[in-house]
Amino acid sequence: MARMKFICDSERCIECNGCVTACKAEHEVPWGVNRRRVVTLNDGVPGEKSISVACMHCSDAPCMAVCPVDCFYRTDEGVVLHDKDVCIGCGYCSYACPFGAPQFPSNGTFGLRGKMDKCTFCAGGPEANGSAAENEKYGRNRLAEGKLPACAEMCSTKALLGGDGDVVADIFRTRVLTRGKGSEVWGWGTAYGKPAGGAAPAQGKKA
Amino acid sequence: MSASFRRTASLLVVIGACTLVSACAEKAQVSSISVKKPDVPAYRGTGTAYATTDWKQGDAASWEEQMRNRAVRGQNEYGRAASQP
Repeated sequence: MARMKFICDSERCIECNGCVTACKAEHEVPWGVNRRRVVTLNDGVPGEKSISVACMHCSDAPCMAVCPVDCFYRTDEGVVLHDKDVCIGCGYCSYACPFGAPQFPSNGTFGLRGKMDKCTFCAGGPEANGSAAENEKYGRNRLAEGKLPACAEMCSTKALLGGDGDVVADIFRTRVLTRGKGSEVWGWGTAYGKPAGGAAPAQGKKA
Repeated sequence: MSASFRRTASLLVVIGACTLVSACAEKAQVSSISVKKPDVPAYRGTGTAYATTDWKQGDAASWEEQMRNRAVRGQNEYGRAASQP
């Protein structure tokens, strides 16, 4: 069974925010919530790097662990989703997440946070696939349409890779070998754990 | 000891006992059963016209093949370049 994962290639990301726009448009994400964001490290300094960040659908997701109403679940493909009908908007998940993925609509009164919203890997929610209810609450279910996440498919430089972990890792490996640098995959160790075996990473390169 | 005093004392004992065990009737405030709705796997498809036609909706193997092909075709330009004559 495929295990869905994201990889952002910081050597290629040009901070165009195409992924952010694609996500907002595809799912009609409300004001105040960005399921995907582009973060620039050392902004303005020569050699700055940008990465596109969203829910990484962690193997051992901290949001799932802290949710007091147990609204999270993981699909067979490894996508971490949540049931908005069960969510109470407590915000624990947003504090637990190392990527800042869970967000809350900020248009409520008296500090009302509403239901949590996060990247679904374009896999919708627990409602029937492709239904109007699913679309309204979670956005479009592209996986059930045989497509990959809109952000990855729209990426102009193919910096953002999304899909079966083995396939995207192979694509990324080919790139690194071809160009001979830029093997850093920020967030992978945090999201999916350190590699259990295999060769040690090359000197001076991050896992 | 008068009968009325004994009655009052026993009444107080009963009230005290009831007060002590009153919390036992409280409903547990922990979630013992999950109320999440079951999700439908993505390979089942949507049954709508928006789905791509390169795979058979409802067939898990076909869906996985579609996911792999789409990732390679759409995201691996090294593969595309190598296939050129």
